[in-house]
Amino acid sequence: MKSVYAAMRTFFEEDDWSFTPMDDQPVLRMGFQGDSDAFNCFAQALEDRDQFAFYSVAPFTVPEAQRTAAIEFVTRANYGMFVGNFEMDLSDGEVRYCTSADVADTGMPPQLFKTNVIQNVLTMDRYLAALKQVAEGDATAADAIAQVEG
Amino acid sequence: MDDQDINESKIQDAVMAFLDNSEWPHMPLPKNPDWLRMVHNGDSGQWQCYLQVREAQEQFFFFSMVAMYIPEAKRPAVAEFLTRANYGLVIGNFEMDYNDGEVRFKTYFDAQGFPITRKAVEVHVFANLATFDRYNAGLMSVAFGDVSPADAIALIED
Repeated sequence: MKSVYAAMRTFFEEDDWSFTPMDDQPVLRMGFQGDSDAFNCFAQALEDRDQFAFYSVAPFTVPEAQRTAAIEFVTRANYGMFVGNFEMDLSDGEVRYCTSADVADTGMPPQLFKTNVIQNVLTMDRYLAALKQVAEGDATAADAIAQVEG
Repeated sequence: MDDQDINESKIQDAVMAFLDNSEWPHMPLPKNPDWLRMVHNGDSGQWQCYLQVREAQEQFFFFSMVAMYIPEAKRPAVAEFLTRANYGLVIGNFEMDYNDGEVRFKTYFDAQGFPITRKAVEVHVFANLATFDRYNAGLMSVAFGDVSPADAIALIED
């Protein structure tokens, strides 16, 4: 089977993404301009596990004083989400959205990458402004989620 | 039959082939036949699971359910535990309904137009059961004991 890295690289080339391979790691970095803000993304191949993961990273970190509220925001956002989930590094306040697939028994058709990438950036874009309000202490987690989900 | 019909039947077929092959008893929910309910015995105890097929979206989801609802006073601590657990997990994530304290672990597969195999279903179900089993006791110690989220995660991951 073609390597996960080779397959994901082929997808991003053929889908006309501009990306930067990371030295010594099976990771491709790229940017995305959403409606709410621009943010960085990266695609990662985990060859030994036959897995692919895609991350959109919020363009700000959550200050320590707001992390409890951000935990609640991320938890509320994740409940009922179909594809993917938010995650936060509590050591530095980085928030990112993760989509992934185990490709061991599916092969790696372009649609597999496409759906994980598109769903990912659209979801980050949808929640980003509300997350920023929580990070800046301007909204409670519940209010911010209500703004997004209605 | 158009392409969508073909793919829909393949997801359902793959799910049923997995369940038949594993001889795992399952029951459709009476009011929602797209959902199947089953029970799993892990090292950390017994828990309920649900498998959902979203035919039109070409997706399937598998959930392991925490046996008890988290009391309101403990939801912030459990949310921190779940956030710490989720960070770095590639396949699957914990989620909690903040309104009633229901906690579950989700894995999914989004087929979007390509055939899905019995084995692909199996991989995502077994990954779910293994991860849930690993974190289940720690989650209970936060929700119903006095263990801090950071300590409970350290016991599991270090």
